[in-house]
Amino acid sequence: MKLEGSYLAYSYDNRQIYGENVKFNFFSYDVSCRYIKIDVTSRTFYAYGDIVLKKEDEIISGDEFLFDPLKNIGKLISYKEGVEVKKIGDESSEIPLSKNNILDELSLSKIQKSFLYFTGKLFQINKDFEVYGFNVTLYLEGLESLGFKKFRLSGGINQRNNGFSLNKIWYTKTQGLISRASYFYEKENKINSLTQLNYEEHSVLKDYPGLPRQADVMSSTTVNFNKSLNLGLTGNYNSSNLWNTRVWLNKKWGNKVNTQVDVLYNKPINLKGETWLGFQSIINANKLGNISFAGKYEIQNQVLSSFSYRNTFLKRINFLLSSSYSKVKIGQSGDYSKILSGGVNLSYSSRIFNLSTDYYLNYDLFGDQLLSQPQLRLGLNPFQFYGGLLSASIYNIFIYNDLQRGEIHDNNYSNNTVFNLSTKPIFLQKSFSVNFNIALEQFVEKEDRNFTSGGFIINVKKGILKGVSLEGFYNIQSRRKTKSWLIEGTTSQDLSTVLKVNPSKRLNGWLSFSFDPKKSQWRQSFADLSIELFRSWEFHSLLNYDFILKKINNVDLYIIRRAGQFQLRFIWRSLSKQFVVELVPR
Amino acid sequence: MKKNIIIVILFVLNTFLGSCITFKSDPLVFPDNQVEFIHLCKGMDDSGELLEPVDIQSEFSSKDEHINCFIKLKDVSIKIHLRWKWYSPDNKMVRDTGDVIINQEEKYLGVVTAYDMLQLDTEDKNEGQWTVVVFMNDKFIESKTFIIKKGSRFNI
Repeated sequence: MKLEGSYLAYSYDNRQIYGENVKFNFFSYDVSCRYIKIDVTSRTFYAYGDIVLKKEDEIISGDEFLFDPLKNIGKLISYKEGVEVKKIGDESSEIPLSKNNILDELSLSKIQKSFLYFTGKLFQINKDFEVYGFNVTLYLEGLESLGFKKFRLSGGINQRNNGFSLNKIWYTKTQGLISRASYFYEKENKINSLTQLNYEEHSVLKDYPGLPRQADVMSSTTVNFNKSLNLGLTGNYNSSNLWNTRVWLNKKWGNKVNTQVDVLYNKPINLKGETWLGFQSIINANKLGNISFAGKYEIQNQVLSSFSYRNTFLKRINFLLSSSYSKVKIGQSGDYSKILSGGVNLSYSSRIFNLSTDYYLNYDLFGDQLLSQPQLRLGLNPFQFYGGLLSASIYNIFIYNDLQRGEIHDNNYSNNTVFNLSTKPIFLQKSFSVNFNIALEQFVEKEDRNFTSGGFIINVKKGILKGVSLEGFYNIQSRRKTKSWLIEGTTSQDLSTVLKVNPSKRLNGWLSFSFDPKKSQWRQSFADLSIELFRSWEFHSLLNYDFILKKINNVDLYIIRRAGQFQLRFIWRSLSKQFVVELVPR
Repeated sequence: MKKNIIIVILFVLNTFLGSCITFKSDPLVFPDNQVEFIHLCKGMDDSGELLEPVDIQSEFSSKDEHINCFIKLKDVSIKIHLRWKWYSPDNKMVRDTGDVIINQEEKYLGVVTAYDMLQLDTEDKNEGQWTVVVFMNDKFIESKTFIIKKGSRFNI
């Protein structure tokens, strides 16, 4: 689709087009309009003002024209005594097209406020919705800069074209010469292949402690034979002589069964390579539950296997049965560790409480050690009272361990109970609120190493002026070891305050201080400030002061340009004495 | 080694620059769209030098007494005719302001704001999707759709 206009603008930030006095072709019509708006990401096309569609002797006019150039359907709207709507293109099809919020927000001024935008008289949009401009001018932060004869305007950060690309060549004093290159090949719905090469040359640096150079090659290819059968090949190589490769074949048997077979060769550094043959299948039998099993065999007689069955009964009861077996070589010794483990979990959840029982078994066949561990968990779901002002919850877990190791037989048990009570903010005045949280925990075990823990947090918030508020937190935590009559333990306290300043959308900041009441000592202070500068530029700073060390620990300064599909950041970090420029896709 | 780095950089620059960059492109006709924005709102702030829309929204209640369609134009130096047409959910025109003349003296005005108000009869059944269309000098410039929902005038 070619757009010709007296003025066309493309925002790289937002992938949007705005045009004036535009002509284009649609479904064998020559279309002209005063204005056009296109959102490339959502494939929304909207022409408006003095719309004229011409085809041989036929001339149709209207005020608005929403259209889909791929499906060749459009909706022409005229505002007269009533609203008249006419279908254009395939008459039989329903027209789901309608104006959306994106079009309302798309305007010439929005495009002109973009970090990067292009203007020209001729744009071309191809079937993949890539946008090309001819004789275009680039505007960088509103300033006219370079002109281009032909330019792929939509060359986004995540887009790839078939072929070789040199992504990066860079030199730093710490890493040396760096280069990143890739080869991409895609045949729609058939083949998808990406090979990446990372190379670092360190020999150009003086006194570099590591290897003189390093190369990594990573390759991944997927071949789709049809919708239910695909083949994959991956390979990774590192110049330190570490490499692996894997071939897999995946088959879907309808919606219920998925099977995969694979062969993996892995060559670690200075060790013998391993070849694994694998098979795994997942069966989704709806009401009968989900079954999955996987098995891997290594040609040096190593084995990994697992099985699981999961189902839900009567909507609230969940059942999970799982089992695994592994036989793996221990280093270079020729011995194998053999471990059989399994578990059963049955849980029930209702509006008021949830109950879960577990049984876990681990049998180390090599070390002749058997651990069985039943567990019982019972929790009362948070319940509210005093009209939702208070909320409480209780949770209990009981664990029993039974360990057999040869002749030795050992068992122990433990129980942990947690109680939590919290409030919603209680407004004592219009701009003054308080809320608190209390937690108590009792841990009991067979060996009498019992603990009692408690914590209390109170949060007070006071609005001072419009956009200015002060918050205070007090937190006390205590953990006591209780054995017979002996009680010992620790208590920690923390008092902190935060001043928040948010008088307008452009200014946002906070300043916090923390104090240790137990030692009567100031600890740390943090300050954070964000100021919106102009044209989506933002200044942001973060400062941390340590009262104990009596020094500024860190200052981070950011200048950020938010630009639709990416962010440009200039960062200075005092801790690492680094200045960083980042282009971050969003 | 440094020589090699320079050669590589020159090669890359040549690949990008040699193929497509020009330093002069065709001059464009300056864009003529003077519409800064059009908003639907419940209220109007007249405390400043210019009117500002308050409570901008696209959903209203059938108990609301009126809806404003607010327009902000920039760089106006000639006399212009603005016109609002309001269409009910059954696509019939229920209000046409006719031409409203702005800047009759033809002075240069950096910003112009104007609005039209649709009075709703709260006894009528107004629920559904409405449309308001704004014309400038007899030419369509923008349409806005909004929903009127059955409900209370007061937010609970």
